[in-house]
Amino acid sequence: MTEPNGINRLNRRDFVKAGLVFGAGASALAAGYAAVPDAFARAIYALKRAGGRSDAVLVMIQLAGGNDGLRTVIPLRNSVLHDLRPQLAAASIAKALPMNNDFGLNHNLPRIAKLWDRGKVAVVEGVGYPQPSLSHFESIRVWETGDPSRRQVNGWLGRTISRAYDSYGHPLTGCGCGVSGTPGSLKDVNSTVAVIESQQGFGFVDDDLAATVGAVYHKTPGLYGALFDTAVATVHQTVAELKRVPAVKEGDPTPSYSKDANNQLAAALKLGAQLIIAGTGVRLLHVTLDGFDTHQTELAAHDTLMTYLDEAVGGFYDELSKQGRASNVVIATWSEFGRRPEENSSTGTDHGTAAPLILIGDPVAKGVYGQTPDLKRLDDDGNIKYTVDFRSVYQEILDTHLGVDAKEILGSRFDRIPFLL
Amino acid sequence: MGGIAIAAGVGGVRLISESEREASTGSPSLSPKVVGEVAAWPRPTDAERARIATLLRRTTFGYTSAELDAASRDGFERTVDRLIESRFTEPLDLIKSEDPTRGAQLGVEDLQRWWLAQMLASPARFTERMTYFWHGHFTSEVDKSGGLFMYWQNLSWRRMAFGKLGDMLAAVTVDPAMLTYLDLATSDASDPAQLPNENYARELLELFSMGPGRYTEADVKAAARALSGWTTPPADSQVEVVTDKDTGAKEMIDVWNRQGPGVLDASKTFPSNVTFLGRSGRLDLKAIVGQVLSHPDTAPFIARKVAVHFVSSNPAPETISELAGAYRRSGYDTRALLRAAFMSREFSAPQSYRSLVKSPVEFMAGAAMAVGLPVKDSVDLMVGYGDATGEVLFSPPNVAGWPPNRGWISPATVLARLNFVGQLLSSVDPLPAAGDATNLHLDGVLGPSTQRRLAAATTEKEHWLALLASPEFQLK
Repeated sequence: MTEPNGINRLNRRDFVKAGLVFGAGASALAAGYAAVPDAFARAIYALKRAGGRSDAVLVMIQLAGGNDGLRTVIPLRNSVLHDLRPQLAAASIAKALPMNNDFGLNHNLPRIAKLWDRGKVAVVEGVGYPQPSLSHFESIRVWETGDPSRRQVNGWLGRTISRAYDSYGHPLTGCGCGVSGTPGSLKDVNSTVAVIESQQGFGFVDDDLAATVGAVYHKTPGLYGALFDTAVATVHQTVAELKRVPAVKEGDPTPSYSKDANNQLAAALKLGAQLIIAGTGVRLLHVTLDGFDTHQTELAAHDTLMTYLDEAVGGFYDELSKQGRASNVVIATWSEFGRRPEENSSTGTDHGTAAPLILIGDPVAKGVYGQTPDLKRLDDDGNIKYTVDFRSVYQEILDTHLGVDAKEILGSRFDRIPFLL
Repeated sequence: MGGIAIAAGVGGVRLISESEREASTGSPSLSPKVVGEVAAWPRPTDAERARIATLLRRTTFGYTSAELDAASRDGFERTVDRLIESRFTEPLDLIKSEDPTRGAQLGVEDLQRWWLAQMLASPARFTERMTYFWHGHFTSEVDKSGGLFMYWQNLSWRRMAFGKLGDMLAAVTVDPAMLTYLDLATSDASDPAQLPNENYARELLELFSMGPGRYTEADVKAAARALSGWTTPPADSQVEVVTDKDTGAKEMIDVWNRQGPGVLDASKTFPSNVTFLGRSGRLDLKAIVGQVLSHPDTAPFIARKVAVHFVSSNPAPETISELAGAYRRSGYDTRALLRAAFMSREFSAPQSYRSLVKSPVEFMAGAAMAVGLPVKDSVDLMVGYGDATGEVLFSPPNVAGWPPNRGWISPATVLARLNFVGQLLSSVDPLPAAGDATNLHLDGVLGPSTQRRLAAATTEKEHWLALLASPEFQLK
């Protein structure tokens, strides 16, 4: 194996440092990254060229199904809420973990509340978009593409990868953890994205198969040819990268962040932490917690989901922190919509609109941002009128955290919400 | 059969549209985006036989050489007729009458094993294939709806596999699994001041009949009110069973003696008029379904869905309107719609060749049948790969079912498909002679890399590996 410039001898962290020096000279940049030997190096190189921060990590947590914002960040002194939710409101408010005089976190979020006390949590109130769709699938697409006009087909993080990281892809720059399908936010026709359901299962069952597949998936004709070839190339590269990640061993003090095997978010974030700690070059992680479509008997179901979220995020943050890797990681929740302020006849809530988002991490500036929606002035469907465009949140993440020009990705500028340090 | 056609470098070059990946949700069409130039598959040497093989790949879970020969003798149109006249066959009863409590204890794997065996062994393969189509369209989920109701739902879609849409919409509304899955069973509209549960009403319009944006939020509320009161049928009895053999823990479980639809609880119905899609009055289930069927977007929406599953991943507007016209004229008869789909010009157009991606179940069943793995072993292997390939039967990712075609392809799911092939080939010993398999399964139409690998294969295993792990075999 040739080792031009000795780059393959360096580990990833060393390379980041080396890359900073390497990237400092404009002439070196102008030489173009085609000469740079491996995919990881090319990714760093492309990022330097685009002016991005090479070491920032973003973890997007999708609360799929439409999370009830009013039961996550709970208004403590809003009498209207009691009127709208005779069954659902009182207990939630009484048990809430106070953040300040006006808001409390759901009582199943004690570890996130502790992070709030330590100054590492921001809440953005009233996040939504104009002419909201109450369809899960339409609204998911709006959030994934970052485009309420529904013309954009690529994901906002996929566009970020293809514009600011590398068109040809270090496979682990973007990664969907704990799922089998590619997350929509990370999709882009020009970006390669890894999808790893579990580390144990990721690899070929035998060498003959790997060799055959390696030979066959080249220049495949037809509509899906490039898609299949790229998927298989990504598998090969990811398998190679994962060899660097120590598997979860028996006796690992934190084999999972949850005792409940149903908490798949805990397993997904555990895998994410391993990828980060092993220095695989992962930058944009997407994980999902499903089950938030609480049309009926919401209390028990939502309590469980809040517990899952708290265990997973708490465990993830603590592990990264212990390993000295938390300083550049931002965790952000998103959901296709909040839920209707008024409860329905099944002791649940129907599809709503705007809701608060939670951001967590060392780079986060503690506070409640945005404007709290007025529950007395709902729209014609009885839903909340948004006060903060969700793209303001994306913009701050892109500009301040990832160091990528948000206007390039989102197409225009939005009000700034300064929830990052 | 003639020789092997190989794709030449940049043979027929054409542009592909990115908008097709939205096909599954029926979202408003997006402006096509050019993503690059791709080489087309070469023309099969025997185009008519390839057309018939394509039909079999899209309407069954696998076929034998004798079946392809018989279909070729019949010709394309007679084969279409034979397929859509598939007799209904009632599957093996999963619940033995001597143990009525079994229904309450059906788990997801029991259901999967029962159905997969049916798919692999039933002589009425297209009936199973259509049951599978409806399983993804009028979809429900076992964790929420429970094993027994999911079993009933599967039996219903098989009986109605080639039925009329109006009957299916009426059936799905009062289907116990759906009543549970989308919460209609819990909705109470008796107090007009209180909100009914909108979950089912919204998906009835958005996903089951006309597509998003074709109705107002007021229509959703009106349908939710009009349909409130339908709830799951009461159990016939309660029986105490041991739920944990180790501890001897017992539990009372509900037992139903036979399958039945939901029932109307008059105390939860809406007490006054609603206005739904322009019609006002005390609308009942029949009236709601009637309004849905009279909506101009219903026929094109279902026609499009059928087309992206059976014709082409990005069907032309003319194809949709042709299919929708046949569907509407026949009073929404599934047979008429399917016949129009298979007989459409687009089905047989060169650009529709291999324009669909096999679902994991289709891919795995076809591969297992190709190498003659016994049904029971095939079922075991397929159940084990459901999650990793992205398709756990009876447990869809969400109420929209499984997104087809491109939706099946990710690094993780492709890896799982390939590993399935690896494990399959080590489960069959000895392997059958690969002989004419390239012609039987791939019409002799190969890309250059697959062709090279097949030519270099020296053992049966290498031959089958190159064939079943090829991108060609993933397509239909």
